[in-house]
Amino acid sequence: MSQTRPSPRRRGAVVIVPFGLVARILAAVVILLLLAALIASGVVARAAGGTVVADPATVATQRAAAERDLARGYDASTDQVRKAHALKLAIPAQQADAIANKALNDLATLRHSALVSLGQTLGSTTDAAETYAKSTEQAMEQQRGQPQPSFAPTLLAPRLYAIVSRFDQLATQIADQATAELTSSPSAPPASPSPTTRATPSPAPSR
Amino acid sequence: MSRAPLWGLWPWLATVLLAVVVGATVDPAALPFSGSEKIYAVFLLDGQAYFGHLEDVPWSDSVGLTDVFYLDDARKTTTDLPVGLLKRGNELHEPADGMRIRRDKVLAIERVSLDSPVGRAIAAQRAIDRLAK
Repeated sequence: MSQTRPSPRRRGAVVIVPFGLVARILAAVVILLLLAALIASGVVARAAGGTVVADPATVATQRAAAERDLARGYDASTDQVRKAHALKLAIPAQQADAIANKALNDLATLRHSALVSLGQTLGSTTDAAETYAKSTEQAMEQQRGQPQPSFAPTLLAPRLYAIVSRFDQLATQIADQATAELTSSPSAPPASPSPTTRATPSPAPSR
Repeated sequence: MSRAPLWGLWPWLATVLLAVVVGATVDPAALPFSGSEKIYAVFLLDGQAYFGHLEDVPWSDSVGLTDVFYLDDARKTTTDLPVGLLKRGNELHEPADGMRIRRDKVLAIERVSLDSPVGRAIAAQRAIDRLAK
């Protein structure tokens, strides 16, 4: 009688993975994905990169461009008033002179206010801005009608653009108003100002 | 002999480093501490364009912009160019913390050169803001 020994049961290889290791791997993968997404989003780069601020030369270029724009707007509006005044008008000459002179004075005041605002925006005190405005006005008058050197077109910074666009808006209103009054018939009532016109025009931005 | 306590940090540091590399692979310009400021232009399907700092999180259905500027029609003004640059935040509702744009409304996203007119105008605006303080 022979006894057969039961064949030993083959045991498969067992790998024991500690739960702590799995948790650490999962945590690492999650952190990897989150950080990768954060880096790719640009948030970290923005926080680390800082912002670029223009040098004084660039600011001076911007100021010169704004002055040029104001001079251009002033010249266009005053030319419009002078051309309307030079027409053969139906209204008496004395009345036409009064209308044209008032418009030209308003435009000069408006340009002065714009230059003061420009000076203050660029960091000048009130007195320094007044001095700057007067000297710039004189320079503009001297350069008026003379050929100007060509400049590279400049996109204005928003605060300077606000001054120039407000100046243009008000100067156009003044010139259009004067033109309408000058070219009206003697019996027609004087053109009423637009409801949006301010009593004291100021090209300073509201903010 | 016990291991130095810093040895335990290496796997985590490697994870962070790997994340930075993977993130930069998605957008190399997003690599932190590299290069200068990144300003992006986001062009919408309706033709409007916004400029600012981009936050483009992959799982979101919108992109974010902070420090936002946009172009204004300046054809009626006497500026050199027929467009003007405006800073977002001065509108009647005074948006306070940037804007979010639905991803399906975006036509293109491009990097703005800091030497471009837009880049220089934004930099000048910051200089002016500092002068005013």
